[in-house]
Amino acid sequence: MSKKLLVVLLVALFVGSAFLACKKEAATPVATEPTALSVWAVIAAEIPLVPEEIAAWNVIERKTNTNLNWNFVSSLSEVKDQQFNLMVASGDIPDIVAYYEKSGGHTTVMKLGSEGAFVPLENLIAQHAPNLQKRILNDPAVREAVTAPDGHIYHVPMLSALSAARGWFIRDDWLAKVGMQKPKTTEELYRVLVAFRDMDPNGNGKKDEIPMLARRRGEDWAYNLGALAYAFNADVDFVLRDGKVAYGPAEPQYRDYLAYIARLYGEKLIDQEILTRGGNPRDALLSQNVAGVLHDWFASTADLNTTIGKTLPDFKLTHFAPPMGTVNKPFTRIQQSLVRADGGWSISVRNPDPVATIKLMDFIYSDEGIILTNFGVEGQTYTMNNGKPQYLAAITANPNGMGMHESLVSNGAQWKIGMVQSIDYERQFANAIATEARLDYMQNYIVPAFPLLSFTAEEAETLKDKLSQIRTLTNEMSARVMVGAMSAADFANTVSEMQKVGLADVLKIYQTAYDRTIRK
Amino acid sequence: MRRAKSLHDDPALWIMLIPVILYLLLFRYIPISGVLIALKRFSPFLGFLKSPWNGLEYFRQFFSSIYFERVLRNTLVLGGYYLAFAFPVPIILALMLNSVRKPRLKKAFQTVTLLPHFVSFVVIAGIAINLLSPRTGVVNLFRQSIGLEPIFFMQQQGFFPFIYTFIRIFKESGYEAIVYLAALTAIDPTLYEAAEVDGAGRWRQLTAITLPSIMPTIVLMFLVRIGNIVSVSFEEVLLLQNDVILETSEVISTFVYRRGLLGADYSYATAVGLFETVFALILVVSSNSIARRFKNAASLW
Amino acid sequence: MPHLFGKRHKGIRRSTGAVVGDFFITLGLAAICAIMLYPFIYVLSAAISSPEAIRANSVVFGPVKPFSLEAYRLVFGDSRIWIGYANTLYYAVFGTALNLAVTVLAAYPLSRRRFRGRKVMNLFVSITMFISATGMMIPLFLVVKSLGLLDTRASLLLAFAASPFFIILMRSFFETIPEELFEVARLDGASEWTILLRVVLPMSGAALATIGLYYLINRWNGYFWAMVLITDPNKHPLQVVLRQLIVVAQMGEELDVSIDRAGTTAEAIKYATIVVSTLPIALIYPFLQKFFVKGITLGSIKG
Repeated sequence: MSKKLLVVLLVALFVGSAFLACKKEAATPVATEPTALSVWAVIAAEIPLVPEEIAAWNVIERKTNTNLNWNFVSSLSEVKDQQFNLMVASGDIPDIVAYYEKSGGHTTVMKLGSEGAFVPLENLIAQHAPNLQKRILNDPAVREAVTAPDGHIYHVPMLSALSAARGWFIRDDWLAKVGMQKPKTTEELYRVLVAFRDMDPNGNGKKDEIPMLARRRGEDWAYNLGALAYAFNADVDFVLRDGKVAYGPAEPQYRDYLAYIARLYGEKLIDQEILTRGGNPRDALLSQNVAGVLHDWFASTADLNTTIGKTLPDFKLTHFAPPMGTVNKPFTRIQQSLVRADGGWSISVRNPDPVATIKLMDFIYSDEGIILTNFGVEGQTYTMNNGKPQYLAAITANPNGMGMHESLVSNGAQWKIGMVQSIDYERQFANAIATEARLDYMQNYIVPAFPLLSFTAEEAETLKDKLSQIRTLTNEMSARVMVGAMSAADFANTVSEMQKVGLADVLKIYQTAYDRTIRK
Repeated sequence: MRRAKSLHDDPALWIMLIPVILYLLLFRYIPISGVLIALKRFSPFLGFLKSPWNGLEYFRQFFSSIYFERVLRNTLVLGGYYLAFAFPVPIILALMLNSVRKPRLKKAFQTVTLLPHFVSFVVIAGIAINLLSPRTGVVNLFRQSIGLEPIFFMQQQGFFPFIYTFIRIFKESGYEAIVYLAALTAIDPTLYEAAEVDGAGRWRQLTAITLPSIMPTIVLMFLVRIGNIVSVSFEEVLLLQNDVILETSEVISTFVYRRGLLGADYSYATAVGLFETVFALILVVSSNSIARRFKNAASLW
Repeated sequence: MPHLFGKRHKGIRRSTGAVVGDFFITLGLAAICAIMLYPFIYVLSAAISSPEAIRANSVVFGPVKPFSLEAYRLVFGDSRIWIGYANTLYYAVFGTALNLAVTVLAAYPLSRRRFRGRKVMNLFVSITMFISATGMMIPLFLVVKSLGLLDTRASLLLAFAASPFFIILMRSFFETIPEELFEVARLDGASEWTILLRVVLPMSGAALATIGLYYLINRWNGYFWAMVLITDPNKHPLQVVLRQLIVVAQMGEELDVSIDRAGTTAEAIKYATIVVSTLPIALIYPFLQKFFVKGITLGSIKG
């Protein structure tokens, strides 16, 4: 009997040690097949991309042992949203999805995440992704912005390096021609615009100047023009007044803003086609030398100095402070939060290997990943100069004639995925004029914007019904006032309509959601 | 001769019907029953069974929203404009064509007027938008040449019904005239001969012979169109509208498209679509019964 | 040929009033035709003018010298156009074939007086005509999705395999075929299939051609469902591609994007694409016209 026991014990010992040995072996990483993952992403620029040929992504795949299969969708909102909806409806969701809504934001992603389409990421990040942990979980502002109402995180965001996004620009050379200074108030702005309109600063003998242009974004025609609202302490959307949520267009001072833009429009000081102009009116009108003042993105607008400067040598576009109307300090709320509303990606529930995926996402947030997704591959698209990456001609003077943004995208950088934009990128992407403008705004004019809120499913349902009507009313009736089909004073009737639709309920929901965030 | 009536149908006949039965079941009848989605908060990810019930909530939302009055009004306005302006044109066109003497000339005219019907609406809408463009459109270039300010046609709310109706006239008059031409051809020529012998002038012939003879056709077509006005040609409106003039150009069908397919608000949009179906049905049935009472006209059946 | 104002008698002088009236009518028709033709002439002219001329708004009535085939070169160099064309041909040919097949197969039994399922099946088919297209839009989309047919060419073919209206039209036509022919065939021992194929179809040339043409035109010009059901650009028909070309030129832009280089060429491409996509229809149009006029006459008299 004891012999038998001994044999059993020995066998057990053997088996046990063998088992332990095997387990240890499994602990050391064995070179396996790269994980194949399908990615659905909004393309960052309307150019053809072949990821297999992009050096930066080959490096990324090698380092993370992945094999990515990309499916790009046009960034045009009509196409992008529709295709996303179709994809979700078909149930055939790729492993990784990089989607943001029509005008930015991730409410849809969060909603679908709650319904089970996307995998919650907090635990994965905590266990496998140190870089993501540092920048997302440990940064309260970022964590706040990406947490869905149900408490989970469903996407890894795209982080920006700068907060100054858009501001006011004016033609310095035209100011010189009409002998005026940069305007500080709305009245001064008015006079400058009149001068631009009447004194023929482009010198062609025709009164073809469009003193002010303002690009719209999709159906949001007030995207840039709405910046004038701040001059009257008004707002085109939700705003905080001493901790209380208010809806800008319902406030009386909004009508002052409407009266002002109606005046400008009526005297042909604003682009008369602002509501329907297609294509890229900023670039077109500026290069045709007919536009004088605009409000737009710092980097790309300042960029025009170089490109248009080639055909129009005197062209000089510099920034100026937000004009003051009834306020006595210039300010703007327009900024980008570090969490960009137009980027980021999620892991879908169909993903075969979420761990490998989160590690891939983590790599992109690492220092090495940041370099690759901002600058590309050393020697090809950038070189190190005093410890700072500097772009090479492949990017700054692209042989195919592409602008800087497109060159970067075609080299695998600045894609709308979960990446971290580098300040060195910003410094080089923008020229001196842009950087100066940005710093000026960041230091002097930018005030806190309305926070990003998240809502429960019930709240979202009510908002979907009522807020959409209210926003439609705002958009359409404001346009009417601007083109002179309605007086600014009559907009008060629109406000009553909004009340009828249920503005009070909407404000209550927003207030509740806001109170939730300050309680945390 | 074999006259015995077989007790069973030749199975071959039923086999022939299989494709259409399958097709209609899958792609017509099942979707029809799918309108139940309107009573749920449908999420395609959860699927039909797991989506929560919502009762008539979406109907209530729609009827109490600003959208209801707007899309209904726009739909009826476009339909009304059609009946008022577009309906008579094919009739007049047919009358004019019919009076052309040289057959080759007549054929030529008909060929040209029929052409726009065959061109896709994507093309026609594209051309129209182009011609009306404020800076580059021919219409405005002309206005400027005679000293007028250019008008941004596609930006003005008030213009849309006219633009839409005009384009419809442009596209479909030639085609719709064919029915009337056929009716005109069927008029007995001896009536005209007799009239001319009696000394009746052209106008008299027109009012005494021609119009009364084609009146049944006219009335029939009119009633058919009334039944159809609610489903105002969806694709045509969609291709002509833009987000600036939605206030006058959003009709029920484009609203369903926008909310349902673009906005993925499936249940809500289905509810609206159901409303349109019922509304259209009421119109068709009532105009049909009027048609039936009209003695000389055949009903839709 | 009877016409509005009475038959012309040889030798009888027509009143001046009649002649004047004729003149004005002809003039009016000519004016109408000019208006109808102008947009197409404009497009044709723009398509062979240089892109710069188009941009400068010089094209009004006719093409502007120097003529330029630049637009066409751009169009034919763009693979999207070729792909779109191939897809349109696919949908047109296979779609129409399927449509006709299903229509004929459905119409034949419905036209046989002795078919006992006739009343039921007629109802089955015609009831579907009462549901408006709008009401069906969302549910049909969701059904196609749940069948897994989203983004497949099959979806466009199958989901619109036949139109109840044309089935009924075809049925009406079949009903005009004399009953004796069927009796004779049955006496000879022919099966229903044989009758359909050997007797009915050969006699139905006109109806098949007419209804086939209706289907064909619909397939060729079809836009909406092709846009909704299909997201893969490789499967899009030409109309969808064309719409994108037209719309992209109209849409506003968002965020930081480089200068719009392609603005000038975009206009030119638009016109050339319009010409290229409409050309086939224009070419077969003269032949179409004969059938169409006959077909509608047929349809309207049958009621």
